[in-house]
Amino acid sequence: MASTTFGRYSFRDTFIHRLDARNKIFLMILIMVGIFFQFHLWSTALLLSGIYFAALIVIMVISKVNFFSLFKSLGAMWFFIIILMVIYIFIPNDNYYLPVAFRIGSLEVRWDAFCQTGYIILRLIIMISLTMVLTSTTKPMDMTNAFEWYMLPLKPLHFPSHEIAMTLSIALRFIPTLLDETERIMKAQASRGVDFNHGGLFKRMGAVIALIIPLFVSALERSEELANAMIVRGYDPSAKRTKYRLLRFSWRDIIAFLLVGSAFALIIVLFVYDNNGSDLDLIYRLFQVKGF
Amino acid sequence: MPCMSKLEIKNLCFSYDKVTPIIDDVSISIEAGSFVAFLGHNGSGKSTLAKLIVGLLDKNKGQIFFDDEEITKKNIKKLQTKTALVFQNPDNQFIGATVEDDIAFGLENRQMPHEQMQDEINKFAESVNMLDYLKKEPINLSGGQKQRVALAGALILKPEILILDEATSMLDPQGKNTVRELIDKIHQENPNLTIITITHDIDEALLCDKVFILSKGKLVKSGTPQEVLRDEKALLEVKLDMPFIYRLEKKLSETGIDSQAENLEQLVEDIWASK
Amino acid sequence: MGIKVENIFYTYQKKASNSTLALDNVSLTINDNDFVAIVGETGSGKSTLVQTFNALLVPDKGQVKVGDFAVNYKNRKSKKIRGLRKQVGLVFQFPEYQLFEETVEKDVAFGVKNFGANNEEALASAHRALRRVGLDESYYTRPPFELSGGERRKVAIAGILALNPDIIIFDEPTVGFDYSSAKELMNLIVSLHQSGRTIIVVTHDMDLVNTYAKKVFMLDHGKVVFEGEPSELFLYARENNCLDIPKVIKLALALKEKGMDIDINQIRSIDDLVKAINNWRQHNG
Repeated sequence: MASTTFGRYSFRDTFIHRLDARNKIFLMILIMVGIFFQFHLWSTALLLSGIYFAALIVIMVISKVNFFSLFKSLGAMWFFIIILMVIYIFIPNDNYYLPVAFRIGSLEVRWDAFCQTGYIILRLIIMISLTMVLTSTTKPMDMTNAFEWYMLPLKPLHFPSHEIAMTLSIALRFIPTLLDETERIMKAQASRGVDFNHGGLFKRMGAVIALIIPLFVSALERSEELANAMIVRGYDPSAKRTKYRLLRFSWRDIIAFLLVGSAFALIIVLFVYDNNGSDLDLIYRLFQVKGF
Repeated sequence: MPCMSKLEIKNLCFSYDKVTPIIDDVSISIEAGSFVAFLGHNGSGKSTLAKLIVGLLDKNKGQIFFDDEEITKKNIKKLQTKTALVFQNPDNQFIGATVEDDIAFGLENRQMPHEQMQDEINKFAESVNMLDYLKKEPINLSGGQKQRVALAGALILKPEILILDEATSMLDPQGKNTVRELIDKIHQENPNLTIITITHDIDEALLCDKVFILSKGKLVKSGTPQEVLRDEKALLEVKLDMPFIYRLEKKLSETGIDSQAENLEQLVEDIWASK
Repeated sequence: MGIKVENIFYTYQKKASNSTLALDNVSLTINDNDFVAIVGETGSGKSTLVQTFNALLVPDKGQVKVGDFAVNYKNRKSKKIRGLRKQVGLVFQFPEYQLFEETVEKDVAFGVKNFGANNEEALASAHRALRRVGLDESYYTRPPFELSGGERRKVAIAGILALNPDIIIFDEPTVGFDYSSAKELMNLIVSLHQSGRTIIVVTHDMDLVNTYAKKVFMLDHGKVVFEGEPSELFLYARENNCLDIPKVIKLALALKEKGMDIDINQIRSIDDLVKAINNWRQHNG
């Protein structure tokens, strides 16, 4: 049975749902690249992070994506945060700007370590959220079509872009079916005394084999029947096909493109300033705010 | 000479390993616009026969004629466009992500221009009563609904022969009934469409114009359902049973009630009259 | 061994917004050596119900008493659950898709070994079970994937029989089978019943219910809406316009409506119907 987890496509009629999938993918990559520019001055970095975050919230509100479920799914990041902290604390770094927070023996722990971790985590959260906004506002079909479109230039090199896209879309189509199948086989084997939750490594390996082999056999059978069904409906991977689902570039895409494009340009400008010398703190100049 | 048979199979043989025959010297002739059944037990070769007709398998020996034109390696592609096949498992023939994508699949292969597709899809979705489900994903459909989508996806290619390979055998009674009624409607509305249903369900065969009984790869009997399906001995030999109504009539005749009724209403009348 | 279901509830995807209540306060009793059919439309909760009988699913509320073990939320991690699965065999729909060992006998012995038997014991049980489902020695060492669909289903059923369960549940056992294979399988189930086992069949096939079941439960939207004998079920079904009433019952009902004195409860097969018709003729002739 289908569940409504975050990141799964759900049908809504919003500005972002209606954007061309190709455009959405491109703009998302653009935003991600922009976000990943590393700013040295904490004032700039912090201010930008705040702006990114606000923009993310705006995007999520426009696309009517439920963000409570997002924060639930970020629970697994704690482990990552701790590892990052340890790295920033123990690995020596020349670029310290901020005072010492505390000392462990002879080791000076500076505030930079915390800022650095926070900065990375924040950007990661934004990137994960954006990906999920993309997947929950774009039909899997449109996504594969967009990928196919991006791979088109490779076609003269005999790159199987259509085959890859078709395989991808069929894989997506069969995920729920195979999940149902997995559950059924697990229950059937549990009825024969297989314990999937307890026992040593060896026992668990046995349990997994009892699941994987039947699943594989049935998937093979399915794929054969599916191939037959495709052939009798005239499918020929090498032949030309028309498309029922067209990707359309509309005025919405132009607006989104201009918005994201100009934001990206602004980030580049800031980045160039930022790297031209640490004394040139743009934020400081603009707002007369002292550094962190 | 006017062409009488839509599909003519002559001395067809097939085996996977060239030792055990799956189809053994089968000859069948099917008239245009008729509704016929290939009846047989599990493993009788009836599904293999369907795959040979549409060219999913290569025959070892024999000939298949389509409108008096022999199917060869050269023209098989062309003739494949005139046949459609609906399979047994509703899940394994659902190719598109949604109902509309799946119905469109064949049109895309036929390179129908995009502008014409929507009307066609709506028309055929409507004809199988699935117009309200166009945006639905297969996981949210029942088996019967998926088979109706499969029928739309097959019919939209305007086939001259429609083959149903146990299309209802995996469905629950509700799904079975709706799909059967739909097939009946398709048969009424398309007098030129030849329909071949492959089944082990004797009651399904009862409604056909002609029945071909297969067993162990051989054609053992053919004729109208009334001729073939009243022969209990022959049916039991091929591991099938008579349809309910004939079984009852046979038992009744042993006790002196004679009825040749073809439906339950008539049979009730006949029994009542025997008082 | 019997089963006593006491006020159970079960919800799928409890946390999600689209959670579905699959079992809604179900109570029923299945006695030792009963032959019970569980019927209802697709999605009515039949399969969910029987999966609580061997604790594959544990009810959210209420309990299922099987012998002296209670399947309930408190016992959901009990060690006794494994023992329960040995006593309550569950044959899933299309069980042919659960085979995985390289030979038939190994596959059948797999479950027996899981429950602690040694290799010889397991193989001996496997051979007994295979003979019981009608597969002789020539099948023992063949790979299951080479067999036909029907034979694979027999192997899978043997895999459950080899555990020697007291209660055997079959979920749609004859789906996709032709007349003679279905009949053969039902004969096997009848012989299991005669040897003292409790049989529970989940099915859509009303002819099967009419011919074999002693008692029927009908589920609708997770509730038990009918409980009784098959003939009563068909009267209920006709009143509520649900289920596929078997033709033999339809005909008997039509004759009764015309004025024939016929006891629907006595009609389980064509022979019963013919006998009833002749009785009536003798009384009126």
